[in-house]
Amino acid sequence: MRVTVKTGGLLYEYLPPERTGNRATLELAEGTTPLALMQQLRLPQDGTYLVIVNDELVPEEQRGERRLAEGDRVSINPPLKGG
Amino acid sequence: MSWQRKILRVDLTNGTTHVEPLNMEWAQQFLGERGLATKYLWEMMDPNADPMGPDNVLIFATGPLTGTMASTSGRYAVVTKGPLTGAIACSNSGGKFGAELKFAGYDLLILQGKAPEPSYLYINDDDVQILPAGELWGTTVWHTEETLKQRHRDPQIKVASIGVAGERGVYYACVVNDLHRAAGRSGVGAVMGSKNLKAVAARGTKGVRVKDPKRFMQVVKETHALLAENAGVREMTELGTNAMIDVMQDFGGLPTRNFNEVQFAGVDKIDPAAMMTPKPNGHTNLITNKACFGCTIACGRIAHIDPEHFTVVNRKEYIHASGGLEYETAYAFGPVVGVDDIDALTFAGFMMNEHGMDPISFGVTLAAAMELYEMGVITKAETDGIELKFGNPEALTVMAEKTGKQEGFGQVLGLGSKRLCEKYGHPELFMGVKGQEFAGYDSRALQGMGLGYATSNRGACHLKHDTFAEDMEDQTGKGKAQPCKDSQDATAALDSTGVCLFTAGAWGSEHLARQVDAACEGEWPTERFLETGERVWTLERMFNVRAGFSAKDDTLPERLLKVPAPSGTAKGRVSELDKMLPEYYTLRGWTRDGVPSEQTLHRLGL
Repeated sequence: MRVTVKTGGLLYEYLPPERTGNRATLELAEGTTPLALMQQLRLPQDGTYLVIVNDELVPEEQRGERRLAEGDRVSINPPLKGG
Repeated sequence: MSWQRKILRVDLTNGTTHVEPLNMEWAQQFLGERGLATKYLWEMMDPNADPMGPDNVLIFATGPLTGTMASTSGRYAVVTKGPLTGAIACSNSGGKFGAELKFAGYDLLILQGKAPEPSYLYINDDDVQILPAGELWGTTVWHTEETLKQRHRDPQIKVASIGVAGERGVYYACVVNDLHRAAGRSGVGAVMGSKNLKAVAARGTKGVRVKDPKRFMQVVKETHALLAENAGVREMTELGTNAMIDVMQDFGGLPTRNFNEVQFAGVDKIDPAAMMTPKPNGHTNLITNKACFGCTIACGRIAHIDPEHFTVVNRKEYIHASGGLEYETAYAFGPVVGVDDIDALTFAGFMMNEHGMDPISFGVTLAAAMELYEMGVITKAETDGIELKFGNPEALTVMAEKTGKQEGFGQVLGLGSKRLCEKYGHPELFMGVKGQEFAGYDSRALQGMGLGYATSNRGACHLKHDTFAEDMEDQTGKGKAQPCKDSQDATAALDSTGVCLFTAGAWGSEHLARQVDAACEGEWPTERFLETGERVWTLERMFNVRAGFSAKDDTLPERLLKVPAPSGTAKGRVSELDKMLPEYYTLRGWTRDGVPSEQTLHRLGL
């Protein structure tokens, strides 16, 4: 299945080389969870992230359970404070 | 030590200056900068005084860490009664001016009265003069700074000044120092203008002494390392604060078209990537980043406008490097007015710096005017022929300049959103609190932010508390009162030191307390440091209570309380302020009317 991933801040550095800016369309195995996606991208594990799937906030405790689906839009953001 | 132990007091009415000892008992209670200036303001003026009258007091305050080796130690605050709100105003700024004022030997500069003619204050260590500013009156911030450096033949002079906006009483005029850093909010520049004071030019050579140099250097080394290692700080350095715009877009907390929407389709055209990506003609908006005095973060952006852009064609004076987009300017010239032309946004930013205006208040005021225009309440006949529609870059740039110069419809925009909306019979379109416009966070998506906005002592403000982490974990109002209160106190303490709020991603209060403890007389454990913050917050509140504010003013517009967010992660939600506020008052030890109880005042020594 294909999902669109958009990253905030400097997390685009973890997207594959074929990314366009801070976006990439990824081919994932069926049933991939947001947590598995983050591990696949090799995001630092000690970080806290804001994860949104299709305009829906995915709390940390649900990231290993929720299954992504074809066409999902996943947004992964680092912890930022306001300016 | 760390304090200079001196105050420079200037009576503009009589044209006199004198130096007096800093009240060290107050310094031990309120630390410096925001806190100490609040104490002096409280003792010196009637909170009911006209903010634009001679009885208002204007204080430039450094902190004990200002000018030291601590990272980001260039901060100073301007504290006064704000004309935009009628509440206490505390606007702080970076750049180099604050450190220079401290090097000249002063913790606080207190300005009273009103000069009989346009004047500026020249400070060169012990040499203090009130000088005529007749030929500077009516000119820009940028012209004033350059002229004063040339006149005194010293390029090292640091200048804090106002533009025409401040002279003419734009309610959100700011004080600009070092060309593009500003004490931006609440109209502190208008107070300066009301005193016929164009500028303060400072030069200092005295340095700053700390209590325990060896321990201070060790603590500074450790805290510098914390900043260098912090991922959030690296985001600030590499991308600037505008990194937030993509996050708020996806979160659905990005106020758009005067808060009618919470996501903006044009965000990709104004975000950090857009700033760094060459256009087809090869022009790239961003040139580099920039640090303030002593700063190891360097979040500032230096940008330039495409020479082919309509704003600068035949205006070569604006084809140069200057302050670029930060998150709040990107929001205030972008989503909230519906404009996605990055060069137009950058030009509007130049106008704010050149003429001395708060971009947040300007942008949100323009957004309200655009909504009224689209409703047919404001007509083209009033707007000098400009189509004041959402999304029109010309409306943004022309009105930014007109407001700065106080020409045409710019005079109406200079009223601020609250007064403008009342003038046209639609007060419900004002998006702010206590007369001050919202920053770029929607309270329906960020519940703790809404509580912080509602209770901020200077009117709607995103910089006086920090509930970002809690707001992004849970989108209800539950459990937001405690972190809001705690972070307000911690921020008030931080703002009283002389360092920048943007250290807070890497430093907790314990790191600040250790620096203060090594630098300043007295013992400063974390508990005392935080209690100082609570004392500062409560005294600010008492100033507002005396000025007539109460629980009725701790509220949000109906658009946020009753109209559900139309999209994003908070779709369908409204602000839950009604649930958060009573809990907040209880935690603060305030009455149901929002007044600090006698017990609370006694506990804090107030």
